[in-house]
Amino acid sequence: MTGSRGKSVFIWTVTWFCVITLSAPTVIIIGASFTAGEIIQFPPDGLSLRWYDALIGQTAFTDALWRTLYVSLVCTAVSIPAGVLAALATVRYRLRFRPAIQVYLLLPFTIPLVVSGIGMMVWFGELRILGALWPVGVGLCVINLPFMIWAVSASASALDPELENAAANCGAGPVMVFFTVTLPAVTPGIITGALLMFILAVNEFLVSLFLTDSRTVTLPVQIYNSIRSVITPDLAAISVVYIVLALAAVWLLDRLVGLEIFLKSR
Amino acid sequence: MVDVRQISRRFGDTLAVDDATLSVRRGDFLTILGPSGCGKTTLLRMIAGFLEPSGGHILIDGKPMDDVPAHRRSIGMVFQKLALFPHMTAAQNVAYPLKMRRFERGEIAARVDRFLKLVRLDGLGSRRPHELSGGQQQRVAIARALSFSPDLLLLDEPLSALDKKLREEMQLEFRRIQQELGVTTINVTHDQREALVMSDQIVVMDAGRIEQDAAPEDVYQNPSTGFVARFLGMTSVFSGIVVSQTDAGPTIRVGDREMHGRAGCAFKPDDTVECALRAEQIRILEAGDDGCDTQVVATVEQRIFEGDRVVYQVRVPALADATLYAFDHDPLQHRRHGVNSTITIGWNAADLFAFPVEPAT
Repeated sequence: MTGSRGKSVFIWTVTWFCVITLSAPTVIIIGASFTAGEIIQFPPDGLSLRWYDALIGQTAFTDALWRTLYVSLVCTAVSIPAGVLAALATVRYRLRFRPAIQVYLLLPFTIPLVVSGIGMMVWFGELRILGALWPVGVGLCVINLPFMIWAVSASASALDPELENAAANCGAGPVMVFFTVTLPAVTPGIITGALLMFILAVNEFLVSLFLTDSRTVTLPVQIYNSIRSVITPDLAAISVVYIVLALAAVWLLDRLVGLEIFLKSR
Repeated sequence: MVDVRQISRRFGDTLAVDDATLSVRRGDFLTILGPSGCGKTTLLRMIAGFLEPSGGHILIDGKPMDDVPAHRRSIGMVFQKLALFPHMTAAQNVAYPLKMRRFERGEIAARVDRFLKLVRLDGLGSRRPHELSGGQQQRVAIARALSFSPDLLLLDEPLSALDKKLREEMQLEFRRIQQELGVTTINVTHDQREALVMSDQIVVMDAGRIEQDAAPEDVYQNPSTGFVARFLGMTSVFSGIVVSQTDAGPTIRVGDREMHGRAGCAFKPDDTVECALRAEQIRILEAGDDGCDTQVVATVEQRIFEGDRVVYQVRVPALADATLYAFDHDPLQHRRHGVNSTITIGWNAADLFAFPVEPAT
């Protein structure tokens, strides 16, 4: 009796410790963003939306936000065809050197972001595209692509190859088979992967730091730049915008991948 | 209609299909029957165009299919695991081949209706496959395979996953639809009952080779090899040595008895043969009944009650302790012979098949 009681006390202690540790920074930053005072503090000094108001007035932040969204969309748009084709190729076809290709596709995970960042900065510089905004999206796509491949691979390996035979038997040529059977079957993976890619691109700091300059600075880099000058509660406010973005993505993922139920057979 | 000529398929070192030749007449129902791993599904997939033969040719309507990809062949197929498209409704599944083959919109709607009705699924067209029962999914698969009026229908053991009762129901259903539409059909199965019930023609395969190609009655009553005799029906097998051979058939010595049998080929004296005897052709004899060509005394080793019949497993000392199986369909006599009791059994010379002993594989 006492043993099981002790166990439950232990489990609840650990649980609450984890919950508090994980959520405390978020709770504190949300609280601090609503302060009426002049400095970031928790609990906040009075309640107001003045720092959100101030945020809207600061074009440095709003422009950086739009650039971030643009970069993230580029990243997601590039990652969908690249990730889907790479995942289908490695899962569905008996390629030569398949293990080597799979390891190669996971390389971005194993290389430190600093190294990737420097590498891409030098390379983009050679190509004379450093300073444009879209290459940042491509760069972010490269470093996060394994997430996309992983998500689509999971869907693709659940796909019964006989379905593609059945489609061919029904008179569908290879292109029609791909669009009417293969693609719908991996759609849940694509949705998961795309949202993951989008949110990772929105958050990515280190590689963006190397690839952007004052004209193309993205939001995480802008926040970093601001910290180095004055720390005001508008930083807390912009962080809350981030948290809302992330929550929206998770909500969307839940809603969309709920579709998976309809895609399951038997 | 379909001609398969000396077709082979190699997977690595193994020959899955070895020099198979068969042909199907228009409108016929042909079953390829064999144990799992005999190459029957490989053969079917080559006809469908999913696998390329390593050698030989397939002709449909006289046209060689060598360079015709699967989607250009006019073949409907019902897959073993059905392979219905999970993201489409039953009606969309049935419409899919029509869309891919560019039927007109009005024609598609009419055909979807007609074929859902044919498989008795009218009203369920808007359900997705996972919302249908096993038997209903089966019917969607049949409708999808037939909706575009293919020249040829292929069935890849689609009934094997169903329980016995539903399976027997679907066998008759398949046969009804096949005869209603008159579509040429090739079916693959390991279920001898299914083959006998449904087919106009049966091809028995073993280890990649075709053992026999004949009408169901012929395959059952005149098996051409020991394998076919063993595979169909409940068959007792024992070996013997040929004593003499006449036009009527060989005389064979088994243990210390000599008996007449029949064979498809002529043996020489001293040839070793395999004798096969169907359980339903062995009679359990009353005292004084000597209506059989061969009679022996046997000991009951096991008595298996199967509901509509009793199967006796008996040992015959006079035939070098051979084990035989005999049926008793007469409910009045059930339970009369217990284990270890002695009975007299007999059979006619025409029912004892003798085959050359096959080299061990």
